[in-house]
Amino acid sequence: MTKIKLVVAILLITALSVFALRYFSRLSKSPSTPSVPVSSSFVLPAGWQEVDPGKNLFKLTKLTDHPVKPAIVLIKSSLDDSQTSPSLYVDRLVDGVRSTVPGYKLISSQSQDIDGFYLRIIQSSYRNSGQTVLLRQNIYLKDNTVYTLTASYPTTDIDNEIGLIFDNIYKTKISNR
Amino acid sequence: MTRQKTKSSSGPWLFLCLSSFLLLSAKFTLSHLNSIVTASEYELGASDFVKWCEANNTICKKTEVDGRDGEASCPNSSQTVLEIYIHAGDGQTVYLLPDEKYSSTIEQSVVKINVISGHDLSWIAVVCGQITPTPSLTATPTSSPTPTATPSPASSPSPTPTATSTPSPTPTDYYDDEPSPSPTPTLTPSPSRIPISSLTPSPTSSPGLTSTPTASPTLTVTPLLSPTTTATPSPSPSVTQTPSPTTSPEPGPTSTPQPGPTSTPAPNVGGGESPTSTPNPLSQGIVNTVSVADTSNPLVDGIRESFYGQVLGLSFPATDSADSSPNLPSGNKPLDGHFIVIPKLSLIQPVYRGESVGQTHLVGNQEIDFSRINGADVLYGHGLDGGIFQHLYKLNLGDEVNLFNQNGQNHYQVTDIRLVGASDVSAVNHQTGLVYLLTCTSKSQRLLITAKIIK
Repeated sequence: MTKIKLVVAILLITALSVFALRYFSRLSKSPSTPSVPVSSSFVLPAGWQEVDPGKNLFKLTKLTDHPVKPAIVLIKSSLDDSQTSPSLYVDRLVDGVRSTVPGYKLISSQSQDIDGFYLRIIQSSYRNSGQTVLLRQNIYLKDNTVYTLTASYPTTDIDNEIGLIFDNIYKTKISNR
Repeated sequence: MTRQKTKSSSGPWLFLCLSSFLLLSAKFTLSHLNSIVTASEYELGASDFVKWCEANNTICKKTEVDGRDGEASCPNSSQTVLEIYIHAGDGQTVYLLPDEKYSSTIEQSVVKINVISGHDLSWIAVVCGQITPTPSLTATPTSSPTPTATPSPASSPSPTPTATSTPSPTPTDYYDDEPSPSPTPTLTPSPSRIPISSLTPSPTSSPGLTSTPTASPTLTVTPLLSPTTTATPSPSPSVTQTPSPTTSPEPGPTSTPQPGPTSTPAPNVGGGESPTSTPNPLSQGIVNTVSVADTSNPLVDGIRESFYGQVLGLSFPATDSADSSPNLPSGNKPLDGHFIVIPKLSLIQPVYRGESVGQTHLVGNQEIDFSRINGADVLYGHGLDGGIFQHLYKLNLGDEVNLFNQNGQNHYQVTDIRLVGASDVSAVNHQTGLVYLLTCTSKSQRLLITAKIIK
């Protein structure tokens, strides 16, 4: 009887230790992860990491416990119809998103010119799996080339980080400054 | 002595077990409650809803009430209550029941509401339809009026900008041609406030369900399936249809769709062998569709690619539609050579391969998307806000549906029409030679039409 108890106790202690180790290693990872240099070009804020971009130019995610993981994606595409004005083209894209993405809400849409690019900055949100997902999208057009930078994230407290990363991506991957 | 020792040492074990059990059960109870208690604030404001209800008074009736309880009934006593909307207090919020703050009892065409914890009621509106509790249908191709619960989709302002892009739980794999026995999606059983039952078209009934056409310009449509030699029941040279007052069946600008270069193999929608080698409508130059010259949308692509969330459960959120008349770029690509032709609705449209973000489907307002649910071929289109399937409710048993793929065309006949809950896919089953047409009729319901291939 005593032996059985001893075995059970050892098993329990082992299991608890494993859980505790995992928990603490995760805790120590998120807030204090050192900033990571990306492609020797710029430094990411804490918690962000570059992931396999797949068919995209560039993709970053942030480690959090929130169900909606913050992510940033850069996509390059080309404009088929060069006759279309950038402004009309983006308006049509925005209408397309509104009629396609469930629960899409446009919060703001501002345009400006930067280094010869037509830039539209779009803030919006949509619903996915019961969660509100915030979106920040910068779309840059020059000639027939379109760069779309999208950030999806759960809360506004990382707005600044996203702004910083957007600036860096623009400098290093879009305008090649 | 030994006994005492044993007793005292078993205490902590017992405590550990009990506390674990209590924790687990509390977690389960909480998550369970979350799934069944839904606050259902409606998307539209009260004044817009009232306008819509007045414009659709054959299916919607608003009753003024004042107090903690009230009663409302359908416009017609032969109808059944499908959805209940209430307005409480003096704001613009409209609630679509069920909601934890209000209780309701429904008896055929009459509904009674009691306030549990919310404001006093100011009005109750019921949307009604013609539903018989018969569980199955026998195909009677001659029966005419279609019983639907569809609030006239074309009337504006629509009370239901709630077209969901999710036809139902996740189809398994759009790109998989094999009719795989797909894993049954884990459904959160939506509280079915409305009896989900089959519809039996009753020849004498339901003028109240469809908006009665008052205008009468007839629309003649070019023969779609002209020189085929298949045994189609009605190879009529032209289809004449009287459109409903506010809509025209999409004979939009005459630009031909360009089935985009898709590298993935296109599924053979409908599953059946191609009985004929009729060239598809595109190559015959008779396709009249809205422009789909370029559906690519880097903004949608960005949203799709950047979604990195975990799947928490199914959701059927509402869509805030943009101007729905043009075919706006959705990011979905047409399936090469695939078209759907429904002569009765004068509908000729390319079929798209739908994309999704997590479990949320992306379906353009003017797109018919192919997906697989339970291994079955399903064609989904929006039914609200001028969606491409807004007139689907007009189909009757026996009506013709034709699907074109790269090999030719398949002829189908409607064999079943029913309303199902938004998350109910039990009626969709893989069976060779069947294709399902699915559209939303409200936030909580879908119209599911089954069509069987004609050999």
